[in-house]
Amino acid sequence: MLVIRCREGETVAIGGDIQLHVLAVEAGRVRLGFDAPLSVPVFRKCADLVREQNQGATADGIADEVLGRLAGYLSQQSKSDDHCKAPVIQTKVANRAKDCQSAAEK
Amino acid sequence: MTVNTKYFQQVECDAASVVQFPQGLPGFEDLRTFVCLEQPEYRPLVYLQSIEEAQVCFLTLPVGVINKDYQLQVGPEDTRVLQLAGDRAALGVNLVGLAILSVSRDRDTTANLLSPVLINVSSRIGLQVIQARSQYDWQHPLSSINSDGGPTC
Repeated sequence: MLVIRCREGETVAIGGDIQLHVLAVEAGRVRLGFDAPLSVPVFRKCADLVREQNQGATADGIADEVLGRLAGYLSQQSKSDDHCKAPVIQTKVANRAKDCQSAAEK
Repeated sequence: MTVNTKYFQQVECDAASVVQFPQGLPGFEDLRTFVCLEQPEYRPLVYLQSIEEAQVCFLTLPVGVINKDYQLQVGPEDTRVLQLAGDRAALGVNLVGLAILSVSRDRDTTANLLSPVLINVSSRIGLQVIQARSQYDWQHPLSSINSDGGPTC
């Protein structure tokens, strides 16, 4: 591991198009700024958590059970649809997908 | 276009309904295109189905269904990826926010409210954001919504 000591305001370059700026150093905390191309995702450590969570969420053989458990919750939701903005928002994205779905059911 | 799906076999989709994820999703960085599928009887549940990999399908709920006061924290880098230009990121205005659900036989279903999947409704660009300073839980139990007696959305 390459270790570099930096002061506030200094910048470390990684390759040609990635720059790491040390923006501020305060009691026990460092503020870092990253300049990187869009193709390079910059992750904090908690990204590992999200990764694990995502991978667990797509595990096989759980769908029926999920749907069973969610059914009660979702039926409550539909009763309160009038007060619920989210499904209305969702339609914008899923409208066509919903059409697809109904097409698939035919 | 025909999409092979995990739960519905083959589904016909309009190319315009495809959501592009320039960075994929954490853990699935290679998968860049998804479609949102809805089943009328399970609304507002949304299936986020990978087009490239039929076996990858996330079960999600709009964040507003789980917490009607949900506050989004989107940084400048995120708005850039989402191509929101100078617009303020606003759920229900220019963005849809979906919380990915996790299920285990031994535990209640949880929703990841810390890292919602955001979709720009006009450009159909998607991104799973990590809200580092957010107070939300990445394992928000859905059962706690029911336990307060009334539906909350």
